[in-house]
Amino acid sequence: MTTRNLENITIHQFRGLKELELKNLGQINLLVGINNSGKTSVLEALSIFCNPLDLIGWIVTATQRENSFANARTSIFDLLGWLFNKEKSRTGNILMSGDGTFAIKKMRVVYDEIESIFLPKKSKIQITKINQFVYQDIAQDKDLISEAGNIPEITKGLNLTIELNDLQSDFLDKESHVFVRQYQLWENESFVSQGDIDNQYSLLTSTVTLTSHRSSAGQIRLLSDARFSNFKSDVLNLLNQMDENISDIEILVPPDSDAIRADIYIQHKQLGLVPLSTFGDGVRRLLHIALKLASVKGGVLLIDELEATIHTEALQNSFQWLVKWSKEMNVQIFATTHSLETVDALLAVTEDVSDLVLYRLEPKENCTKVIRHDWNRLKRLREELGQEVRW
Amino acid sequence: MNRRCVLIGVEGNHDQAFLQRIFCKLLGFSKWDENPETLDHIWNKFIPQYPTKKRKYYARLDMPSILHKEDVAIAIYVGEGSNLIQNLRDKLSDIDSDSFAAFAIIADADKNSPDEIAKIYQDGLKEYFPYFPIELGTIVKGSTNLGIYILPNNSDKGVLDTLLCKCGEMAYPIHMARAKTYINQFSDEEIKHWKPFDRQKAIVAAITSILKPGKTSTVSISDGKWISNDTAERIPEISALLDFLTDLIDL
Repeated sequence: MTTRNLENITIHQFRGLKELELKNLGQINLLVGINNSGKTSVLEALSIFCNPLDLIGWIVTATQRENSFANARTSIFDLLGWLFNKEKSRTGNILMSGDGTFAIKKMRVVYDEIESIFLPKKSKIQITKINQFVYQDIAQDKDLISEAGNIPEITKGLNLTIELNDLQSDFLDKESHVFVRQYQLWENESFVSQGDIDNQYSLLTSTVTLTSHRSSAGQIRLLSDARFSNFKSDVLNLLNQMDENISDIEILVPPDSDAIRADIYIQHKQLGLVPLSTFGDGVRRLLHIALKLASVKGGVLLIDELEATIHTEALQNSFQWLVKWSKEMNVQIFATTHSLETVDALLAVTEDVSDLVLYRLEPKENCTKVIRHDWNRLKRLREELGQEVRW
Repeated sequence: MNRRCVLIGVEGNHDQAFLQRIFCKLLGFSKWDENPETLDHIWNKFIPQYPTKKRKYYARLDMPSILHKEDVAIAIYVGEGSNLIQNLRDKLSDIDSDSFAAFAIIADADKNSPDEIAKIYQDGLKEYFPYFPIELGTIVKGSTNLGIYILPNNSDKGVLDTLLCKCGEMAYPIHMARAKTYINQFSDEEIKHWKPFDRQKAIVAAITSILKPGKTSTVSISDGKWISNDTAERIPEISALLDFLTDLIDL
């Protein structure tokens, strides 16, 4: 019986991934593999699959590796384009399928680069799909240039055509229900609205990156929500794994601050009341993970490099907390790791065959091969045979 | 390293020492020099990564014997007796079984008949080697050569020590005679806890202790005269096993 949001996922095409199958997903799904094997890409693909109509989510996912949207050095259009599997220039596809209780069973997204001739202050000729020849024809039209009184500027844009299917059937099957939405984005034009997102095609999803805990944006809201959900005391228990002197956590406005800007403060038995930002990455990332977990109750949490910033001695207790609350809040977790200690610590705090599943990604010429170990086998491999499982 | 890699599964440390001796003494292989740079990547999966969990602090995980000769690398993996199939299945689930040039099982027939044992191994390994044979002593040729050999001779019940006793008759005839006399002095009551073939094991152990007191049977098998060109020539079971291994590895 299907009980998880995501039971199986196949990433047919996404970035460099091809035909990557994650079968019989568990509560905590650990992705291992050598560098550049596609672990982070899997997290990105899942983020898109769970919220395909959330255009802001697309942009956040595309720019995640650049640290932040604001700091992106590569153009956002280019970054979006790199999410796609591009067999031809100017166009690309993302294709994924899956099953579980989540409504979307198949998703196909087609990306087309487009260009328009922009005549400043006069008019704008928009060509929905332009190739090099069409552009040249228009650009060489002297009448058009003289009429506008300005030299036309070329603006880049893109079309995203998103097709969602809530049946396992083929996209070509006319009987199946296919939801289609198109977006058009233009360079140098502010993004206004993405329209309504049908909740049916959206699964609560959040991503913890290597650096996202350093940004305070959104943290206050997350902590506030956790406070209202009576979750704060459990979050404190988690932080005590890092520092047993942490006794409370509050949202406060500094008394000597000119601006009315609240921040997160920690009540520390030795240091007193101190801003969260003065603590080390360990405390900040654990808090971040805890708050993100609470924010996606019933959904999916994606964590890049689960062990990052956590001392090995604190891994087991921290993961015990994570496993307990992921079950309590019914949050399916997908996490990448390079650490054998992380694998062992998770094994030690889980006890059911589907609590923990390890997937090792092995890039091959035409696909990404996936080695799957459920909890039973993983336990035997690690604890009986002492086997290396990361490569 | 880019050698043809051959995996051989055995049930115990004595079997491992026995096969290692055959490969080194009779087929010209040498032990891996323990230099990581000369180790084929795939064998890393067979080297235990300590520590293990489950409060088994004193447990020692078996290290396979790794042997080299020209373009061939052999690992003789010990799978803890009756756990050999499960342990091999776990190992194979984590590696690409197509990577092997050859794979074989060398087991013994202490409880079941050789045919019954072959069937158990075929069933247990078919997920990873669909063509794993049930015919004893025969190699199925392919991208991975496959075979199974049940000691002592693919037809009778017995164990490694059954074969070693035959070797002992030639290599250490006086020791064998005296060891048998000594063992036979014990009454049925005194050896009522023995399992089938424990008599042969006791004889081999007794000779080992006489040859060099304090030495284990494993060491004696590795450096004694049990396996030699002489015993290989004159004992059909050793000769047949040699042919099986040569065919398996395409030497």
